[in-house]
Amino acid sequence: MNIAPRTVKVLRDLSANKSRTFLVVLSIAVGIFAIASTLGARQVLLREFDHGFELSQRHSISFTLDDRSTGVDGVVRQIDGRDDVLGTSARRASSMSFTIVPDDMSNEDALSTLPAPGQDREIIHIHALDTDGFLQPQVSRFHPLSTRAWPPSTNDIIIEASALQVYDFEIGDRLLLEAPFGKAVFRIAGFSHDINAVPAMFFNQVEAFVTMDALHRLGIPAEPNRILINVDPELSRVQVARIADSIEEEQLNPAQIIVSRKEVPEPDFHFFGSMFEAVSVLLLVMAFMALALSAFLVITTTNAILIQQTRQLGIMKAIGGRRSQITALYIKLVLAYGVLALLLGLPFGIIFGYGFIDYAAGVLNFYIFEMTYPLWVIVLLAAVSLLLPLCAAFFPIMRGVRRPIVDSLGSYANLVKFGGGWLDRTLSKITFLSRPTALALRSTFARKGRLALTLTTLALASAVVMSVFSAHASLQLTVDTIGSWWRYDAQITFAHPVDNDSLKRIALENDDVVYAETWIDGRVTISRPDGTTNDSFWTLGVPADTRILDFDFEHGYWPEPGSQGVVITTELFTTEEYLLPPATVTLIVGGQEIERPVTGIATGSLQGATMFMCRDDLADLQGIVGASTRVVVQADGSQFSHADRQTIFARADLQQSILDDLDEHYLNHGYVVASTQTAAGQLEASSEHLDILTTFLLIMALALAVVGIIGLSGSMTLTVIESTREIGIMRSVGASHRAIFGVYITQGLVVGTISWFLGAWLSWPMSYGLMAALRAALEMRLSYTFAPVGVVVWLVMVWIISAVASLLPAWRASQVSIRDAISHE
Amino acid sequence: MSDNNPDNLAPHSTDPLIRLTDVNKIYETGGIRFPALLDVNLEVYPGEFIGLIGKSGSGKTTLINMITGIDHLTSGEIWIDGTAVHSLNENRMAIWRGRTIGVVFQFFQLLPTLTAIENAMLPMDFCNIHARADRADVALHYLEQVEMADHAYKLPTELSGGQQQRVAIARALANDPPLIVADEPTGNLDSKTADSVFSLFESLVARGKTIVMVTHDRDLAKRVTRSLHVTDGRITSDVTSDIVSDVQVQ
Repeated sequence: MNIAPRTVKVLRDLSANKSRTFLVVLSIAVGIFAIASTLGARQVLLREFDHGFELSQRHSISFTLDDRSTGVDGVVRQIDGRDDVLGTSARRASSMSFTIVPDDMSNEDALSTLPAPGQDREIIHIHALDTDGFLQPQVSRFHPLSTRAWPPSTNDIIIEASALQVYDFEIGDRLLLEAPFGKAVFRIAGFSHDINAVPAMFFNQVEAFVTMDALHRLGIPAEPNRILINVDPELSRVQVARIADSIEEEQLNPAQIIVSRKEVPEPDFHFFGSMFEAVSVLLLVMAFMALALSAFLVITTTNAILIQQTRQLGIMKAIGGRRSQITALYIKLVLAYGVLALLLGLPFGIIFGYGFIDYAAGVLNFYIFEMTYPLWVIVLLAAVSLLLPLCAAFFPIMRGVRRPIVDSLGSYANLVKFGGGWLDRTLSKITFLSRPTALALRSTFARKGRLALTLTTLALASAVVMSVFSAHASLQLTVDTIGSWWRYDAQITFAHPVDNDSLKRIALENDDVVYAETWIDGRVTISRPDGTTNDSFWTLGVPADTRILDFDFEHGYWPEPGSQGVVITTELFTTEEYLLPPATVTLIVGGQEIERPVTGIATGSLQGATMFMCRDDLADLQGIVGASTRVVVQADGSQFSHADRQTIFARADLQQSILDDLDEHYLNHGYVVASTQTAAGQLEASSEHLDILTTFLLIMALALAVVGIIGLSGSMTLTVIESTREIGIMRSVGASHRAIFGVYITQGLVVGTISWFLGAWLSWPMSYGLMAALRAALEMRLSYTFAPVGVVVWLVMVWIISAVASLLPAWRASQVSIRDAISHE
Repeated sequence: MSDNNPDNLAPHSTDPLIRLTDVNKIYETGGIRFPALLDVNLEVYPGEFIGLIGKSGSGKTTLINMITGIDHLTSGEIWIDGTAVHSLNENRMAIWRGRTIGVVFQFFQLLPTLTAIENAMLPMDFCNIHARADRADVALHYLEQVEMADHAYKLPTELSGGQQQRVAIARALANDPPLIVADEPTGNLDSKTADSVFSLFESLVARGKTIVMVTHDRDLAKRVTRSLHVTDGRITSDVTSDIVSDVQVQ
C-alpha cells in the first residue's frame, strides 16, 4: 500500500511513543467515559421513565374516601360520564400485616398458628380492583412482569416488583395477610410493575394487587375507597384542580361520600424525580469537568510533543513543508488520539452506564423497556472525542508551526529557561535544602506553563473530592439537625384510631418505657387565597405540651396549650410563602373548611411538606376525639438529642426490643399495626437515602482524581523525557540511581502538595456551591458545614497518589544511562 | 584583500544562480544589536562548488540561512534562480525552497520515525512533485546514487552517521533542485566517511548541481572550486580552489 510519508510519520509517532500516546489517549478517554456513563445513562433513564410514565396513564386527580363509603361504583360511573374526564379507576386500598408461610405448612395450620409470638410481621399495602382494572386498566396502570394468572383468582396476590429489592419472594410463595377483621392465606401468582409505586427499599413496605372479590376473605367490604381520575393532560394544574373541586361538589357530595383526601399531583411529577434530576445534573457537571480537565492534559501533552519535535518541525519546513501541511500533519496526530480515546472510553462508559441505569432503575422503580443508548449521544461523544483534543491542541500546534525555522533548528530550541522571574530567584535563594532536593524544587517550577496546567487539573480534582466530603458532612448535619427536634426511642402507627388511654397504658406496661405520647396522623389540604387548593399533605396532631418534639423554629413559636395554632415546616412554606406568621391558613379537613393561625415555621423534615397542630384540635376535626393513630415512647435516659448519632445508635438494641415488645402487646390487644420505627432506624434510613447522593458524587469525584493522577503522571513523564540530558549530566557528576529517583519523586510530591493546598482553598466555595445546587435541585433546606477531615484525608491521599504517579517516570529517569543522555536530542 | 571585489570573481557566460546585494542581518537580544552579516555582496554561478570557511560565530551559518530563506535578512536583496527570495512570504518560501534548494545539515536531521526511503520521499510529498505512485521509485533512484538503496527500508537509528548523511543528501536531491546548501555536512563524520560524502558532492557538481557548503575541514576545503572566507559577518576572501592557502583555511 502506498501511504504518504506524512501519514506514515503520524502513525509512527503514535506507535513510537507508546507511553505518551497511552497517556494522552487515557486522558481523553476518562472524559469520554465520564460523559458516556452519565449523559447516556441519564438519557436512557429519562426516556424509559417518560415511556413508562406515559404508559402508566398516571391519574390527574385522586380522591381518598372514608372507609365506610357506600355506592361508590355508581358515583364512579357518573364521574366517568363527565365530558372533562378521560378515564377512572376505582380501588380499595388497605394496609395490613403479612407473614410468609413456610413451604411445609398447610394453609389451615398457618391460619391457626401464624404469626408465631415474636415472629416478624411486615406491612403490605393491598390495592383491590375489579377484573376490568386488571384487564382494561384506564388510569394509573400497572403491567404484569411474570404471572401465572392475570387477573389473579380470589386466592392469588400479585406483588409489585420493587418488593424484590427487600424480599426474596418467588411465584408460588404463600403470604398470610392479617386485616383487622380477618386473615387469609394468598399465593403469589406473579409480579407486576407500577412506576407510581414507592420503591419497597425506601420504607420496607410491599405494594400488592388482588381482585375486589378477594377482599371478603379478609373481612373487608368490596367497596372502593379510592377514585383515580384522568383528565386532558394538556390542562394546567389549576384547571385540573377546578375539575377536582367540581367533581367533589357535583358527584361526591350529593352522594354523601366523604372525601378524606384529595390530590392533584404535579403533572409528570415523580416522588424521586427531583433527587434523580439533582444527582444526574451534578454527575453531568462533574463529567464535563472531567472532560475539561482531560483537555488540559491534552494541551500539556501536545505542547510537550511539539517541544520535542521542534527540530523536526524545522527540518520539515526546510525541505519544503508548508505551514498548512505541517499543521495538518499534527492535526491528524491529535485526531488519531481522539479516535483511540473514543474506542477506549466509549465501550467502558456504556458498560458502566448500563450498570448505573440498572442500579438507578432498581432504586427508583423504573422498568427499562429498551436498554440502548440514543444515537445522538454516541454521535455527540464521537464529535467531542475528536473536537476536544483538536481544540485543546490547536494553539500549541499553531504556536509550534509558526515558530521561525531558524529557531526550530537552533541548538537552544528546547532549553528550559530558569532564573528570569522573581519566583525563580526566590527559589534559588533557598539554600538549606540538599542539592538534589533544591534541584527537584527548582525543576518543578522550570516549566511554568505545564506546571500551571498540571496544578489546575490536580487542584480542581482535589477541590471536588474535598467538596464531596463537605457535601456528605452537610447532608449528615441536615439529618442530624432535623433529628435534633425528635426525642423518642420508638413509635408505632396503627391502621385505625385507637383510644389514647389504651395506647398509653399498654406502652407504659413495658418496663423500659418511661414516657409515652399519642399522636394523630392526618392529611389536610390548604385552600389558597386565590381559590385553588394544594395537594393534601401529612399533618401530625401532637399533645400541646409535647416532650417528644423540640422544634427548631425559623420563625414564631409552638402554639400555647389550648390554642388552635399550627406550625408548618420550611418545605411547606417554600410553596406557600404567604403563610409567614402571624398568617391565617384555611384548611380543608374531612370536606369542611376551617381557619387556623400559623404560629411558627420549623426547620423541615425529610418527609416533605408537613404541618403540626394540637392533637385534640386535629382529633376534633377528624371526628376521633379521645383516639390517636400513633404512639411514641421514650425509654429511660432519653433526654438526648437525635443530633447525637452515637447515643442513638448505642440505644438501637434497646429501641428494637421495646418496639418488638410493644408490637406484640398491641397485637394481642387486637390493634392493627400499620408501621413501626425506632429512632436509630429512622436516622439510619434518612442517612442512607442521602448517602446514595454522596456515593454517586464520590464516584465522579474519584474519576476526576484519576484525571488528575494521569495529568501528574503525564507531566512527570514529559519532564523526564525532556530532562534526559540533565539526568545524564547529574549521572556524570556522580548522582546515583537512587538520587535521580528521589529527585523526581520529590517533584511529584511538591506538585501534589501545592495542588492540595490550592484545592483545599477552592473546596470551600465549591462545596458551598455544590450544596446550593443540591438545595435547589432537591428543593430542600440543607445545612452546610465544611469538612476539615476531608482536607486531611485528601492530603494523605494526594501524597500517596503523587508518589504513585511519579513512580514510573522517576524509575525511568533513574535508568537513563550517561551515553543515552548525552546523545539525546 | 577587499571583500566582494568584483575583480576577484571569475568571468561567467551565464546569469548567476545566486545574487546577494548589500545583505545585512542584525540580531537584537535584550536591546543589544549584534550584526551577524554586514553588507554582503555575492554572486554564485551554476555548477560552482562553493566552500564557506570561517571561525565559529563568523556568520557562515547565518549566510546560508539567508540563502535558503530559513532566516530573514534585515536589509538587502537575495535573488536565486530568478526569484526575489527576500520578498517571498513564508508559504511561498516553503514551496520555492522545496523545489529549488536541497538542504543538508551537520547532524543529518532525518525524521527518526521514517525509514530512509520515506525520508527521501518526504520533500516530494510536501511539494507534490512526481505522481504519488512514482515517488518511491524516484526516492530509490536517489538512494542508489548515494549507495544507500540496500538500506532503503531501515530507520535512521539502524544506520551509521555516514549512512544517515547519505540519506540526507538523497533527500536533498529528491526534488531535483538546482542548488544544494549544506551546513558542515561532514562535521560529524570520521575522515574516511567525510571523504566519501565529499566525493558524492563532487559528483553532483560534475552533474551540474550548484553547491554551497560550510566546512571546517581544511583538506576538504581545498577540493571546492571556490572558497569564501567569512570573518565577523563579512566575506573577507573569495578565491578559486587552486589558490586556497593553508593560512586562509583556519
